[in-house]
Amino acid sequence: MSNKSKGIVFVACIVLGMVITMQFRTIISARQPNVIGESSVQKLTDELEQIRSEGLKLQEQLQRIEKEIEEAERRLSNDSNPTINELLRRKNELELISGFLDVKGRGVVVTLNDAPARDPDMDPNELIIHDGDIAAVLNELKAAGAQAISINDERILATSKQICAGPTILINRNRYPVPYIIKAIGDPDLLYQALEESEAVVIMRLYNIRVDIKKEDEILIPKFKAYKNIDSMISGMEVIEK
Amino acid sequence: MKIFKVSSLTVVCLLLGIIIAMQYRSVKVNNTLAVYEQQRVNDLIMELLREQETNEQLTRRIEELQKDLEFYRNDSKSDAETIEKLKEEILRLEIIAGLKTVKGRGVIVTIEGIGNAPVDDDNILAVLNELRAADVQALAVNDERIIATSEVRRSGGYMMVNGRRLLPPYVIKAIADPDNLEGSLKIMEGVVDMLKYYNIKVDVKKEENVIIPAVRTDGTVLRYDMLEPVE
Repeated sequence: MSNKSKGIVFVACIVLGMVITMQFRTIISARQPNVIGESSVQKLTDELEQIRSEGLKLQEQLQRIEKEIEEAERRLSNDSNPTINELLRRKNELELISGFLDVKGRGVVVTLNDAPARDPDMDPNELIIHDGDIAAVLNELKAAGAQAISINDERILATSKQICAGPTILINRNRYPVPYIIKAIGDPDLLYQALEESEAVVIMRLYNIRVDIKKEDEILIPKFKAYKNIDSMISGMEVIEK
Repeated sequence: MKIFKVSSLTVVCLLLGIIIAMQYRSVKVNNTLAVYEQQRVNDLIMELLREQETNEQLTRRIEELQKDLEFYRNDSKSDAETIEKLKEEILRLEIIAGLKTVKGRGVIVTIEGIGNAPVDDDNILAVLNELRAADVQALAVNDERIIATSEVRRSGGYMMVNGRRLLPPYVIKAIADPDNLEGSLKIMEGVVDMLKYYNIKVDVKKEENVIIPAVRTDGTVLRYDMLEPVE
């Protein structure tokens, strides 16, 4: 072996040694945060699971109390005092107006679903439904005289938030995945026609977003799920008599 | 012998190449994994905080209803007490339904096209939605109270809200819980920036005394004749 080729082999071996060490070290250092990451994901998932099940229990408790209050109010109305009866009637009417009662009636059901992803090169943003689309659909329904609206059974109030975050939507306080089912009570023909002819629906269909509109004779729209106490919905307002 | 030397060198070089390639790939994979996991952790924390807040609110609502229930079940209450309680409830519902003129701290957002740029209904809807996201309690556009069924539709140079024509500039008023007000203003910055691209000037002002009128009760806005309560 000549000195020259010995030198080459020597250098090659050193480089090889260095690379092996580097490889080893990156594996170790990359593993470590990974291990931490995985365990904290696991921990957070467990915690989330627990909070969700607490939430479900609270919701059940809330529904029970709401029922009991309804019954208690019914007993009040048996009272012979006409003022109380009149106030109860007014309270009921206001609950109907402000979305605090389950209601039914004729109307339309709109189902929105993201476009099927056919071409993987397409911008995924063009395939999904955005809050602007939902706002536009709601706006068309309102303009066509809808009297009650819900999205995935969340009643829409004047101040209901609808925020899309990727493939889900946050309505009031709850998050829902697609499909988005929008129900509206009103004149079915007017609502149907307004939507079919609306720019919003035409554009969504152009982007292959699946829009299905159906007229129905009996639609059930649930009441607003009042998680917050009612006072905190009006805490910043002071009534001015006119 | 020469062949042996050359081939051993070749083998060493080949190995070296393979190892470098592997090294590169594992670093790349590990990086993507780390980024993905960070994202997951962030998402989970956000979700956790939101669910926690929901549960706190639920607890408060349950406490509120518990008190109501105790009141209704208490047989020794007088009629006068019942009447007062019902009137209180009715007032709260009237405020939520938009039947009362209200005053409070809030924001006033003025929207106007620059030059000939038209303001579209989308622009107004976007601002309304951002305000809702910021937990406002009452909304109006040019003093037309926004209720659950209020539409905002552009028709030529004006805007239809609650079936009434409104002319620019569009002044959106919102009353917010004072605790949330700062957050509301911050969220608005994003919309203001976005609307600038459409040549629309948006002015956001914090106000101590925002007055929002009640919804018109001439029967054209608040309609509920097609709603049947479900028992």
